[in-house]
Amino acid sequence: MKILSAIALALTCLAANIGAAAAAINQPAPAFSALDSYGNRVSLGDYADKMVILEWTNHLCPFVQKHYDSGSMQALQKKYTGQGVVWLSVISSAEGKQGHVSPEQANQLTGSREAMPSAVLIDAEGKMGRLYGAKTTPHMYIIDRQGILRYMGAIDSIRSANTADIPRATNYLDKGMSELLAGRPVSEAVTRAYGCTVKY
Amino acid sequence: MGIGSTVLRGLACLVSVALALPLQALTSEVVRQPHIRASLVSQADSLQPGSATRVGLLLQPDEHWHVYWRNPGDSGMPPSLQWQLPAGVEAGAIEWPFPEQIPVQHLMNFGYSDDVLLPVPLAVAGSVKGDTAVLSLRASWLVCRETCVPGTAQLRLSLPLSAAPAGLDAERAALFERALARQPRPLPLLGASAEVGSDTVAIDVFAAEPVFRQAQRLEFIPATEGLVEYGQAAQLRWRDNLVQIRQARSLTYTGLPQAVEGLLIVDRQQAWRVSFTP
Repeated sequence: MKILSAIALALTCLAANIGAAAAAINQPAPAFSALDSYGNRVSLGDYADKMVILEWTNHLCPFVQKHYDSGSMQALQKKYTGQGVVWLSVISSAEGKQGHVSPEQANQLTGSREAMPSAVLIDAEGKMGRLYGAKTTPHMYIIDRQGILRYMGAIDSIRSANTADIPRATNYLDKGMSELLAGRPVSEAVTRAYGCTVKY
Repeated sequence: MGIGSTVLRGLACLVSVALALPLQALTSEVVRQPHIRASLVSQADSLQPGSATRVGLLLQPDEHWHVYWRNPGDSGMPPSLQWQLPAGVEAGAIEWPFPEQIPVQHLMNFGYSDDVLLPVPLAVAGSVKGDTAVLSLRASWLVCRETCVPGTAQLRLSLPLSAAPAGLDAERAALFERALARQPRPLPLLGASAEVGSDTVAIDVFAAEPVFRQAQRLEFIPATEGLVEYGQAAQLRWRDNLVQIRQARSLTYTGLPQAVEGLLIVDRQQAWRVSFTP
């Protein structure tokens, strides 16, 4: 029993270490602060009364390429930023790892892919990624106007790197946003994200 | 004596050659893709109408690269198969050999970093006619080291149809034996429970037999998604027929699933499949 209690204690400590404010669905979204690709400090607190979408990304990951080569991610960015929603693309690749980019490269990527995020956050230390439990690219989150986390998970329902699957898939982000904007709860609030490992 | 053994060796050689010749036809072309080779392999040298056999997708990742189990863990994607088969021939589900744990920073994947054969049962109806059956498979996978490369291969295997019982070929049989020896066996249970706290998940398993008595090492590999945090190592205690698993609760936990399923792997030799309604 002693061993069991010790294990329980160790696990509690581990869990506590993950972060007292780790992202949890229908709970206040963890406060973050990071530099964007123009060197501006961006914090969750800047967006009171706005909905915020977080998109973990790595331009060299085939699962990310699936959603950018098809234009599907850009279309969602355009659709929601056009409605006053804040879209933050987050790059948590560590220096020297796949997908790590300089701020200039991040801006070039936004331009060349005709992406329309509100900002691209550079999180090379992985702080924000770990805070949100981001595991894959893509990995999507929706924060409502009250700062409550309303969606965490996959971009869509078909776990593949194949562009042809996009039209057949349910886009969880789009569905969740539509429900929230219509004043309804998100019907599938947590899904398993799929893709490449975030290159911490 | 010397002459005798030479003759015997010669004979053995001839027999090997004779065995080796038809083997070519029992494996599809080996398709080379970035960081992996893929082929379709038959367990038997012919298909017998009215019987069942197995074929398998052989995936051979390069050194340090891996492919994924059916639950890939925190990222990744399991291989998927799309068959095109003659009428009356039906492929079943992949019989997944037990995987290994592949840690990536603070995250965890489940997969295979060595050659792996994914066996698939094949049922051949008695009504199937003709001389040969052509099995076509479109196999897709994700092969990763630190980075990942998706791949696809169109594999084709032409097998003779024969009314006689199909022979088992030794070389292929060894591949299938290894894969089948690594099949998780259902663990008969006296009882099991899963309790979820705010941070941890406690799973207790009472097996019908003391199958863990000799275990030096035990691993828990969850198949159920959204229950435990894969990257936070499970703490395991076991004795005789009892296993207690304590693992951090998944960050995406939303409620107890209908069924809790996972593998208990004993000394990297044998896997038990645990499945119960919590």
